[in-house]
Amino acid sequence: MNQILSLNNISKSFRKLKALDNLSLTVEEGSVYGILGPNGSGKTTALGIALGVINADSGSYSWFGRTEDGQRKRIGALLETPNFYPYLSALQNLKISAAIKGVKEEDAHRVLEIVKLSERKNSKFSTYSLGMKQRLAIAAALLGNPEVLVLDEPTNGLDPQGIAEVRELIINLGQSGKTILLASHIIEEVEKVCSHVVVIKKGQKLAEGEISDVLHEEEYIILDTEDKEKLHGFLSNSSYVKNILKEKDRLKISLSNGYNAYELNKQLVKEGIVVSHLETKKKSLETKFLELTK
Amino acid sequence: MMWNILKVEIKKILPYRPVWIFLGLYVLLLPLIFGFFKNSTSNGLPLDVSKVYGFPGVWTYLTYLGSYFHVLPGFLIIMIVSNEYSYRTFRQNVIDGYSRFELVLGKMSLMVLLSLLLSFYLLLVGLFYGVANMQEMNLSIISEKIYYIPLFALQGFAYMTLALIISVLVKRSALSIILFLVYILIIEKFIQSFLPESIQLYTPENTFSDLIGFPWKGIAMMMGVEMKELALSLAIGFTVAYSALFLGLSYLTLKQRDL
Repeated sequence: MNQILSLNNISKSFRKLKALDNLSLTVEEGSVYGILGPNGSGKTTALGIALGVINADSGSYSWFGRTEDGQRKRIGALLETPNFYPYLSALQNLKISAAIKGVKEEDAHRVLEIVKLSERKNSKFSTYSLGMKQRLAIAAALLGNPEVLVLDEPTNGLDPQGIAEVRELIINLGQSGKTILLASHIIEEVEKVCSHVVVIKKGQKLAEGEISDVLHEEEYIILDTEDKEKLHGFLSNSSYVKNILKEKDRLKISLSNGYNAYELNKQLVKEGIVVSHLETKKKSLETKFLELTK
Repeated sequence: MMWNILKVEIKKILPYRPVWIFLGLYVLLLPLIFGFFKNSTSNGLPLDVSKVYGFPGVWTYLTYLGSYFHVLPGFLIIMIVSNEYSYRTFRQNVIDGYSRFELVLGKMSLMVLLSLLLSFYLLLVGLFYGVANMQEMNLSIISEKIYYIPLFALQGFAYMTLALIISVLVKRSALSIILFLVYILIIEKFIQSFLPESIQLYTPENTFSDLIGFPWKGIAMMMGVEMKELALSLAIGFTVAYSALFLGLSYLTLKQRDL
């Protein structure tokens, strides 16, 4: 797999605020890479540095394995807010972006079609609603059909239907083989569209990997029985069990990889422990996210 | 490359109304005010109509009047640059693929275009007045002192580089316009008063202004007023150097700044 983007030990402070603290990450070709973090965690700063609009205090980055400037024309990007000339129409704005990218101006019509703005293409940008502005920014990112897309909170300001459409668009683009970087604070968005994810908080990397590893829904089991001492004693020594928590009167345990409630119960019966309560629960993604970014 | 960058800059500003307002003011006021001199001896200077309006004098007098008009394209550059900050389109241009250097090249190409267009317009106005006041057809007298036109173009460009560095540093248009004017009218004179006499004439705005000297110099000296002006070659050299310096500083400022 080719590396599309790599950030190496990037740090950046805004006055006293440390926005990024030695952040490194690698995005491989063909992945849909999510950057997940709460508001103010440094997502936009990281992407802004990668896109050359923010200067890092230290660290380096490379696109397509090259560090020299001038790779951005191969990247379609939407960073933070849509930035256009308010007195120009959507079409005029896109033509400027196309000219800078070195893309044929006619491509503006195609991308306007994709984001469903063709009918309003001659309206001034200043007359657009927030959702339309956001869609125009997505259109600008799609100009020239770039191999890499950087999308920072792309569903910001969209109505539910718009959100669904944009997510579907991202999924389709990802399936067509494009590499996509998606920054979001919405876990279900990342979970729905991304293949890989990095979780950041206060500019530091908390977790990174394939989406199923980082954001899988963890199972845990709640147990109760007459002889709590005996149960606790057995569980503490069992290789099945990853950790035990006391929750009210009951025990809340999570199992080691590869074991499930059925096997645990069988083992308990074998040991002569009969449970009065056995319940399997899944940790919600939100809980997981809150835990990660706590 | 340069041509493409200029085309993008033109696309950005063609529908921008202040561009047309400022250029309209320039186009209207320059010939009007120049013509107005004819009926006025209010400043006490004896006005020899054929000397001021006929060739070759028209080139020196018209460019002298025009040198006061450079603030208009200066204001325009300030508004255009401030907009790039406030609309965050400098940021978007970089995301789309421009380097910081190309951001400055864009503005520079626009400044070259503006100064060429306005100088060409001034040439037309000069020809109009010159021909209207010509006694006999004589081509060589038309081209005499016509070198004031390229000097005027350089001067306009130089004032725009001053406007550029101020707006790149300050970011806000109203404040930049005030600073631009106050610098020209007050700050530089103030700085000059602290400099030793030998280098007083070498401050930026003074070198720009000495490209096109005071046309009533002779009369002023007759009246006993001492006129200190740089030799033309020095004025040209220093103007080019200051313009390059302002462009370079604009680039360095944009380079180290987060957009």
